Amino acid sequence: MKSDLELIQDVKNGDKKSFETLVVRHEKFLMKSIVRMTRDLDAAEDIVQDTFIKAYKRLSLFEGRSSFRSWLYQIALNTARNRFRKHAKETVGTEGMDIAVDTQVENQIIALDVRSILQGEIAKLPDRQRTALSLRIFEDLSFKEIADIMDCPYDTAKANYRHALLKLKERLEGNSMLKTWTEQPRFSLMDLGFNQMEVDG
Amino acid sequence: MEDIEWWWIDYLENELDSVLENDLLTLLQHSQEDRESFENFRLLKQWVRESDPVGSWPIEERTHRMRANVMAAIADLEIEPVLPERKRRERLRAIELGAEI
Repeated sequence: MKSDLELIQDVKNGDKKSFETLVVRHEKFLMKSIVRMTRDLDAAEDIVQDTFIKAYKRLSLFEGRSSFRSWLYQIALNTARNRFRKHAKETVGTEGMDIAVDTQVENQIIALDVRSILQGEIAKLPDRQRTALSLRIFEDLSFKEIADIMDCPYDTAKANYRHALLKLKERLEGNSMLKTWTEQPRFSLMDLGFNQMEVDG
Repeated sequence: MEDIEWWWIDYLENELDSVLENDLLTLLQHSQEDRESFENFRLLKQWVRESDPVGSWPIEERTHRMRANVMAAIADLEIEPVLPERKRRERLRAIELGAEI
């Protein structure tokens, strides 16, 4: 399997098919990252599409100093920011989410409450802390990769992640519903019969 | 207090240096309070992972269409050339001069 750098060289030499391989390799990561940010699948699709087109046009500027994925992520972030500047109202917070709660199943209620509280608290984190947390926990990236993507030193990426986790812990402990969460049985949201809620695409 | 919480997080992430790791393992063995503190971070990370809003979004359906659009769009596009450094500077200088005028 060719590396990103080899594929990029092929594309620069005129092989457009190699660009499709790069798109396949990185599209899910980008889509998931941008959907988390926008909570809007249509917007995320547009942003990621624009990102790949911009990346193709500017491929000669990619010098391989960071990973191709980091470079794409930065283009996607800028594209998303520009879009939100133009359409501020398109940014959707967790308040707008429609959470279907089955009142018959207490466990599911607990799980959904924890989930919605967590999503709300994650949304309130400062940008860089939220980014470090998402990349680490949802994408399983190393701190080196996170530092590349966030264009910051390794220790800064790690500090952002630590602050995010500490802040979430403090806020959960301060939440009346979860005040005694440390005394609760150690449950997993999955153990409680929690399923990812259906979201209209 | 913050120090030890940072250490728990680093331990959770396999980022703690080996000297501190031994100290923390001792704490885990002998202190109920520390065991709970570490367990809370482990649980919090698990909850955050399980609360990922993206899991049920039909991303795969969209990537197929998005990829087709990208490939159609670049079919008629060329990679923009990098301007040689000298030309780039001349252009920047012209812009600066223009701004002064």
